[in-house]
Amino acid sequence: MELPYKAIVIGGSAGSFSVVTKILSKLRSDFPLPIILCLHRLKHVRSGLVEGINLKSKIEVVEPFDKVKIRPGKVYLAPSNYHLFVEYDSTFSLSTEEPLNHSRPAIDHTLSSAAYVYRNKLIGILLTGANKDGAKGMKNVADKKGFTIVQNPDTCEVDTMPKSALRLFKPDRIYSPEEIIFFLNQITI
Amino acid sequence: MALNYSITELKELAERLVAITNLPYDEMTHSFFKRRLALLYENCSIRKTQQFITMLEDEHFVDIVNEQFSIAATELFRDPGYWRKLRGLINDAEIELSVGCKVLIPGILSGEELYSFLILIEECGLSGQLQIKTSHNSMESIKRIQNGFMVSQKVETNNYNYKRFEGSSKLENYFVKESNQVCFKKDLLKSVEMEYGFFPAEQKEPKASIVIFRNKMLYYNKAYHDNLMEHIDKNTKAGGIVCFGIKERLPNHFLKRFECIDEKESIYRKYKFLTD
Repeated sequence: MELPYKAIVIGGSAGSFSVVTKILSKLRSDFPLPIILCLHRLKHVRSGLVEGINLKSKIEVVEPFDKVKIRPGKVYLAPSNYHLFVEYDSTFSLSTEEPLNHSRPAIDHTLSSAAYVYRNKLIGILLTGANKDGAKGMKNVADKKGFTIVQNPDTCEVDTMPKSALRLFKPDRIYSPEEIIFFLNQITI
Repeated sequence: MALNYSITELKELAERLVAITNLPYDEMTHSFFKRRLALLYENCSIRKTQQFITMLEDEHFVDIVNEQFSIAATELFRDPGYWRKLRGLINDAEIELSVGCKVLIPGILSGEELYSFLILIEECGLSGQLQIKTSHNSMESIKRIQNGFMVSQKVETNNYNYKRFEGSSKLENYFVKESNQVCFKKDLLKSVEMEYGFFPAEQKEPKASIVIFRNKMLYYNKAYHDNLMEHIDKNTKAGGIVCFGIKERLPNHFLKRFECIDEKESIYRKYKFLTD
């Protein structure tokens, strides 16, 4: 049976590490879609984050190299100090272009490029965070008829990021982390 | 600004740019080309394709286009671990460097990567002894780099990186203030030759002992990486080293000619037994 979606992009900043690890620890180990994580992180610290997330995740988490093919059932974490883009041939492109919203990786870049490639087959999720990065990218996902979920600001450690998105567009769902987990496990049955 | 061009329209524009500049615009990744074009349109207030095509008749504008599609390194000693490793290879004589040895730094998109290397060799006592060949897609940028200017002046980041590089001096010692701008010292640039283009023309002997080609392949299609690698291979001496960005990898079929000597920092060495 063909799945209704081809990929998931999750963006987050301050406070999102614990939410992401919670989500990845509760997803089925045979989760069939690629999950692309774009989290704000310290640019001088190359290692540690992927290892930290891997400790809890049931699905393997990797930092992709440039031009790597996107495969289902894997979690890809945007590397530190690089932007992460999705290409039409289902590969990743990395970039050292200027920071966007003071961020590299920038969530807007990853979400927008994935929206253009996957269109209505993409799920975009925006979590807790302390700046407005990701809001425009989520709107782009919505404009391309992708499915959009914004973390309920009441459940966020810092609510600037989800609130910025909610000011720009009306997402399909506003969910707590537990509801996001339930939703993701449901759609792939 | 979003561009509503189809893939075909973007390809046509890329081919037009190739015809004018002889630079590989048609080999750029789709998302990169589209993104940079959108930025160019925004910065130059371009509204229509025909307007852009007409503007391309002006050489000065073409240079602006080339510069806009070049990505600045934006900081000195980006990835200090890599620079420490390179210094270690030089100091431990893992790279055979003698007077007149050649170093290629193709596509110096901004001065920072070049300046970092020049500081490194100054601290290794090799300043003025090596032939350093570089290239840039924009004549204006070449002039800017020759004058020691930097695109961004991220003093804090640069100092932090230099500290992590564990340099033997103070970063400020390599810069002077000129017309209210901090510039790289010009005397350190004396042994540097710069030419127009993405890659310096094929090198006469000696071939390069070091090729620094970090984060340049990111913006080009995978198929084009082979062309670039063939060019690098031809221009690197046996036993010479090639440095890529930490998230770039050598295409597999080149592993017969290059060995990885540092996986984390993405540094490769051309096998010594190969003939140049």
